[in-house]
Amino acid sequence: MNKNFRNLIIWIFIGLIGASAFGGIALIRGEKISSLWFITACICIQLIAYRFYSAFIATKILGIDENIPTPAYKMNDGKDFVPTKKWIVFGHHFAAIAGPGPLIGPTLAAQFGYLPGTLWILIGSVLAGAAQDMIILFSSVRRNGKSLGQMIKDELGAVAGYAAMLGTLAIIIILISVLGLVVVKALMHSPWGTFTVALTIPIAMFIGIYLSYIRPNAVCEASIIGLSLFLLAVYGGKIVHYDPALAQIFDRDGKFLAISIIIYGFLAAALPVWLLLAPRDYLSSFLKIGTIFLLTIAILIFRPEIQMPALTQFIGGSGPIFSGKIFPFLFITIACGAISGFHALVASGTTPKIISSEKDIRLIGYGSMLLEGSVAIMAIIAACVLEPGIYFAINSPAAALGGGDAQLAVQTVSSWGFPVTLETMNNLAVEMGENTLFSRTGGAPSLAVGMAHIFSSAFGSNLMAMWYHFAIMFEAIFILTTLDAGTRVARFMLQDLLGNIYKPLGNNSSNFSTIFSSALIVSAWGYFLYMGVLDPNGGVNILWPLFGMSNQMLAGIAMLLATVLIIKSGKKKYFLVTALPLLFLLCITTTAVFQKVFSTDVKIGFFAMAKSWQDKIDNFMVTGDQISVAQNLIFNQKLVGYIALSFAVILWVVVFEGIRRSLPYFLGKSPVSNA
Amino acid sequence: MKKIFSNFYNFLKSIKDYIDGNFAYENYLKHHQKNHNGEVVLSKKIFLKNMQKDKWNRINRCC
Repeated sequence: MNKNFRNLIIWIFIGLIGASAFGGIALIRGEKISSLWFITACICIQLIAYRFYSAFIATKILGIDENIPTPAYKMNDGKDFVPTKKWIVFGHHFAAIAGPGPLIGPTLAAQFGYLPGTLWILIGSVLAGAAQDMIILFSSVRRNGKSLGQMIKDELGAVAGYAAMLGTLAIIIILISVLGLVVVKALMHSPWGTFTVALTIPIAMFIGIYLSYIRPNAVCEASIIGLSLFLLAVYGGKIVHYDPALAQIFDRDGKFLAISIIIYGFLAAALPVWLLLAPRDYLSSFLKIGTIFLLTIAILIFRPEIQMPALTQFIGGSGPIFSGKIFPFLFITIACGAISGFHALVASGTTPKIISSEKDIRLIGYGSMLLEGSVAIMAIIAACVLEPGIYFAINSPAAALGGGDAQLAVQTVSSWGFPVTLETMNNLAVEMGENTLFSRTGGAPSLAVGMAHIFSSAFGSNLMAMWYHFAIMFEAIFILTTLDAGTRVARFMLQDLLGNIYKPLGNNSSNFSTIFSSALIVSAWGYFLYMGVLDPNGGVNILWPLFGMSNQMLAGIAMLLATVLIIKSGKKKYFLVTALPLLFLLCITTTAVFQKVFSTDVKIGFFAMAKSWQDKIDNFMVTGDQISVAQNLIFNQKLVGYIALSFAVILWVVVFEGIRRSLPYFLGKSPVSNA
Repeated sequence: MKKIFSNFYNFLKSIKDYIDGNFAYENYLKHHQKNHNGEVVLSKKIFLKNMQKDKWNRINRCC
């Protein structure tokens, strides 16, 4: 049989299976479907997208040429620019882009049902996210490894460059605060979880010392020791949980945990990298790849049924976990699982400097994002295998469940059409080794319950609590790594900015400048974190959309750069490949910002919520100490409103600059370039 | 079959060399010998420490 004909038959077969699975997910109603449908659709769609769409982008738009030497060869300095094997670069790049976002976002978005999130992850990752990562990576490779900020400055001008820099700083600060909040919500009144996560800090420091003084640079060996100690820490948490005296020490409220994380963040940013950040990053990378692999195997063995309906009544905007209609808030909430602006920063960071050949760009840029999309699909499976009543009881804030009374909470969730009993929730908490699972917002606890359910069904059901706390540790570990790394990077960015105002403040090696700028950055994200903890609606309702909007704003800026570069390179007939996702990003980000800022619905609009509190003060509905609390809430709602508004302003400033600079090329009035 | 095992072993070894920093240091030595022959060579420990410090001065972990 002719080879081409055989290949055609194979790809038609993959296409038909993928289309059937995709159709099944989209169209089956009234009966429970297996998670295998999700995995099948995901694998087939990604295979087809990789084989055909990424090849189209590589050949027709980018003109990838393996004979052109990459910066790793041209500028080989034996340090930053080093030719590296493609699978190692792939692992490095994937470890860098895969954070907690694709786990948390899809878990929260499951409030709309399993269908909207799944469709957006499958479509968004192949048409928008992976295309963005690949094109930005290629552009950086062709420009000697330039960063996103430098490319924006070069191609779109200084104003756009500074706007993008401010946007990047904002996204890092919001990201750290919301991730800190996720950890706080996961560990609140959980002696087992708090002990385990607290112990991972000295374990990571021990590994740092081991690697520096006992067995220098034996990273693999040290990582095996570290991971074994992490598992012992999970087991140690069990002892703490069942010992009343120890449990009391580690049973902490949100305020205590938030302040602890803020102090920890400041110290971690000032500690030498080798002592805490680097060793924990090794451990978290291994844990991340290992757990995702284990979760895939467990889903394939167990093939859990999806309990969540395809669509819930919350698509209309009345969701208890976060407010707002499916458009635009599904896209804002999923963020990283489909497209992430932050990836563009990584794709123009270390990766372009170590790629050996341009032909590897497809695998590393496009392939890594597809893998990230599949992680997001697994997160949505883990959330949707839970009974919807349990899912909503865990993720809805106390204010939405009747103010903290357990009986009222189960009645409220059941009244939404998702029956759950007090006995079920109490038994589940005991089974997971927790005091309670009501209103454990933030996504991490429900994801951990889902993962524990899948793991224990596949590998043995008598270790449910251990699996749950393993999952909590897994999530907390790389959230804390992102928190440390983000604080450090934001500190350097701030020092760069401050150096323009007063030179000594820009000196990276000055202790005063380091402490001063670290304190400013930690205060900024610490403020939002503490605000989230105090928020009566759980904080996630404010901070996650803010993070999603900033992330999609940065994705819009990266996609704009990609569009401008395509037009400037004379390939304007293909500009819709990036212009259409850009248009979509502009629509969702701008609509989300305007709704979050100006909506008159107090559940959605920041200013409406501020006005509602002001009305309560004016009408004497709050009195005494509550007045100052209400005034703080008013200030916070207005503050996040203005910040959200600034995201839209930054995005549109860059868009106008992009249009202004690319129009002459589009109209054929300026000569095109080759890259 | 023997070839498959041998390739797999080499693949694992290359990952270990990358993670342990052997790969980076060998590259540095090659580069140094070719371009800076006669200048002082950094020890592996100092080279990897500097590399680690540089790595965390820029964005390399995402959301």
